[in-house]
Amino acid sequence: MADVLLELLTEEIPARFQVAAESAFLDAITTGLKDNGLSFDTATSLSTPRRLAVIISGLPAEQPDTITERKGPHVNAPEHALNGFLKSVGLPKNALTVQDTPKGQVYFAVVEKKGQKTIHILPEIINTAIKHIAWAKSMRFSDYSFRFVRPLQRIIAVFDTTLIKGHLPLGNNNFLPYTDKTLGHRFMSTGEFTVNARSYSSALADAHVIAHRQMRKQHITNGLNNKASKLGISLIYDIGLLEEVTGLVENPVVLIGDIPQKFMSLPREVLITSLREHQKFFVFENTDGSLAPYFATVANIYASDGGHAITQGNQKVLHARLSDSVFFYNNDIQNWTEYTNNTALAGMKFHAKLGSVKSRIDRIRYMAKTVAELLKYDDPTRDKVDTSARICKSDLVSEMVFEFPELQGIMGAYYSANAGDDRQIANAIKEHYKPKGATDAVPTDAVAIAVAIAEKMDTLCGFWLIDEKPTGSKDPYALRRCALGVLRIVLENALPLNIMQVADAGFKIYSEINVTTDNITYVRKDLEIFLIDRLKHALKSEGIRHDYIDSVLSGGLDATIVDKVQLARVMGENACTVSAIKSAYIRTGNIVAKAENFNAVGVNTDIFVDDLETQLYTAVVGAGKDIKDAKKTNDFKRMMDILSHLNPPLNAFFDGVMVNVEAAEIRNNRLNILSAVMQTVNQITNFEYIKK
Amino acid sequence: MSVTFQDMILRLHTYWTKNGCVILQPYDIEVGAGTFHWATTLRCLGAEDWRCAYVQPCRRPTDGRYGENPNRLQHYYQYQVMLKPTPKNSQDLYLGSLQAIGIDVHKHDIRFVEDDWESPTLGAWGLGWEVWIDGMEVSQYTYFQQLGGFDCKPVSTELTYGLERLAMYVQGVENVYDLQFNETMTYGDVYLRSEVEQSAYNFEVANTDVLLRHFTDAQNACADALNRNLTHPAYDQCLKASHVFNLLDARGVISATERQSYIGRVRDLAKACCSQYIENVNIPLHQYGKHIGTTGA
Repeated sequence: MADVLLELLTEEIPARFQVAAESAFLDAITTGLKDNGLSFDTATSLSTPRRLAVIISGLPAEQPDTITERKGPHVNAPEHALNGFLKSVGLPKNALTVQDTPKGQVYFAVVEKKGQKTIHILPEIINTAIKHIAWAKSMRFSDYSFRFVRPLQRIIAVFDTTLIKGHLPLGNNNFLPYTDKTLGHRFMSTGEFTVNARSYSSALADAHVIAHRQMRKQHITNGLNNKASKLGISLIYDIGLLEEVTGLVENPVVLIGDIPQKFMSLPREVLITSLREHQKFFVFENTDGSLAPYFATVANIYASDGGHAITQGNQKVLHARLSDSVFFYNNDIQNWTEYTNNTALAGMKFHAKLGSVKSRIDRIRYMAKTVAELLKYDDPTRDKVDTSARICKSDLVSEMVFEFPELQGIMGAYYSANAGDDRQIANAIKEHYKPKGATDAVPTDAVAIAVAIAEKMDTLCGFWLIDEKPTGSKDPYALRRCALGVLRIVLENALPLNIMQVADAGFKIYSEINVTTDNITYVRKDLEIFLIDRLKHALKSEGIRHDYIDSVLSGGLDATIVDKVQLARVMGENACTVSAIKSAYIRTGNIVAKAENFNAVGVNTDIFVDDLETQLYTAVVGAGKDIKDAKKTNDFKRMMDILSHLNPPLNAFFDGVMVNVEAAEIRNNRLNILSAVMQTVNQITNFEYIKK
Repeated sequence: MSVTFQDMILRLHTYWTKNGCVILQPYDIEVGAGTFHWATTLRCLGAEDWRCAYVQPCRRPTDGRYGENPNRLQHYYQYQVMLKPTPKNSQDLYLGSLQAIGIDVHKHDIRFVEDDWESPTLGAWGLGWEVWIDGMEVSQYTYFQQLGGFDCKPVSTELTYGLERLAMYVQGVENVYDLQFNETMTYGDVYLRSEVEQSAYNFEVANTDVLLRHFTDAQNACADALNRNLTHPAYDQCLKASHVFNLLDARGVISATERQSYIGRVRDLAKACCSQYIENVNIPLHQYGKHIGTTGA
């Protein structure tokens, strides 16, 4: 049994591609081996920014011999068909056999293929695998037609300790021959050295390369935590940054630098964004949760001075960046009042067909006012809503947000608070963008809620009016997230808010800037359906059935959405009862639908002839009263109980009473009883939409 | 030991001379980046070998800060290197150049961080990296894939060094104006006044009506030259149009919608020049006069 080492030595692969590329190369090699009948014991992969490697163990020295039976043409087939077959199997006619098949007599050939030596098959497997690695972005180099993520420098291919003879065609008569020698760390090692499957990891380690990604990552994490505990601080864990940095180094060395005290008064988010986004630094917290005045960088070399020059260099860069931030921040604080006039927002487009950001602000104010009225906010709160809506996007023209767009809202909150605005206003500026994703929290403060809902509804109404709705695969304006955001805000704050009334306010104010449609009824309905659809989608993860939602919302979205969702929840908890009633409902519906001459005049208790009629009707009437009572307090659990108590008399009726009797009066009366059952259960929710 | 700004350039010239580059002088038309020099843009098309290095003053009107920002200038220098076809040891050559200007690669953290370059005005793109030294970006390293909409065959290695940045790093100064230009003069001694005046001109004074006319003039002049197969003069005009656009931008008269339109117009000029260059490059020199109509039909 032999082992094989394959390494692609390349120029630095973008960090974000390395994980996928490592596993793609491994898959391609193992697939190639399998396709060629080569079994193996283990297959492992390794990667650094400069190399992708695969080590296979337990390979046979040769492919197994194969015997396959090939089916040929019918014995009566024309000459050329037979000749073609003989040619493809490489045998003379007398080597063929004839067998009976359902379609008659057919020629068969037994083809024996001797297994080749593994070392001779590998080049094709290797070359195919290299070409099979799919790169999001690839390039040509020199005058080759070969494409790779960056220029491929060497292909190391070793079978046990023997160089595999082969080469990769690069195009234009150029070839990259395989070698058994690789290079170590770019700066800390010199010269090439021979490697094989067994020596690979340790040879590279001696050459200052940690080839296993997991090990490198662990090394970095340990380094960060160790340095942190020595300083009495704790690392703010950042998995994304850790993965990226792991892909930037072959020999990680964690170095700690200082953040000068004069910068520590910058807003926390500004510091973290500068440190993390621009410089790829890790940040730390003090025991009290405040940001610690330290950063960590992961260098790629052990420097002779212990990393002092590197740390100093990084500190200088940080100093320049944070000085800029201080400069921007101070300018913004000074200019905030001017920003809040929103003059510059008139020149900023929201969307080609929907006007400027300034006009959007006017609409957000109007719709936020609508929300405040519908939710019956008191006057002081309404004032705060209006102010917040007016300045919620004033920070978009600030120097800080220009530099760090991801800090929109956050900076506005700081500037507003600094200017002495009420805490609720500053908070609303920050929170009106929320929830930013399915897992982000919703705003819970009344002022923030109003502006957040208004902002999202402005987006939804606008894009619906210009018919720019999400498709199955594309949602460039994140409208699904927008809709979900509105629904979550309403549900998680238990707001008695009719979202469609807010939409109506939106449609109205859009018409004032001539963004309108001839078919507003259709557009409104379509938006409503979209919202309900998003709701079903969101509640699915909670286990709430989508047909239950269709059922409780069959009358559309209104101010009772919170209660209705709760009803759907309770129905879910009583699914058996609901299902049993649905069965009866279907049965009932069928009987009534098929009945000829059904006269829906109501039930005449005087003409009951069977006790079961009395029992059922009494139960129905009682249920109706109880349901009405339960509705006063939204006692959904009780409604489920009412349904479950209705089941026995209903089933007894089906079992014991024949509806379609000769006597027309009795028959009609019985149909009316059943009709009453349907009407009664529909008081709870629309059973038409419930699936069995 | 510290390397002056002047000395750094001389060392780079020496190093790249040793590595087979023809040392050119800066292009004498205002450009925003070293890439715009015909030695990069036009010469990276076509199949012949080409290695060059040059300093290029770059004008970026919108970056002016009236001499008050320690890091940002509306006029600064790039050192540009073009190697066609891409040498196998491109990266080693680049690292060697850093050592030539006194950077000890065993003491500093040098990283190749993914950064792909593209220029909508030139219809160009390539893959490569920003090169960081101790957390600061000092160079752009690109393998050109397309220019003017044409595939580059062969591919070229383009190295662009931000000279001021590099010098500030090597000399350990935090304000560009404090750089030692040579033994006796600082960067500020040489450039500060001009920087202040140019900032004021770009942001406050440049006559936008005149500039708008200049843009159209350049566009027309480019077309005239192309009609006579005169690619290099045409390309000059294309660059003039591009610089005028940058000046108009600094004056704040170009709206977001118009921006795309202007960029598109410059790109069309650039593409036309590149296309004609590729055709012309195949015409032997002795037939060239006839081709461009300077000798009898």
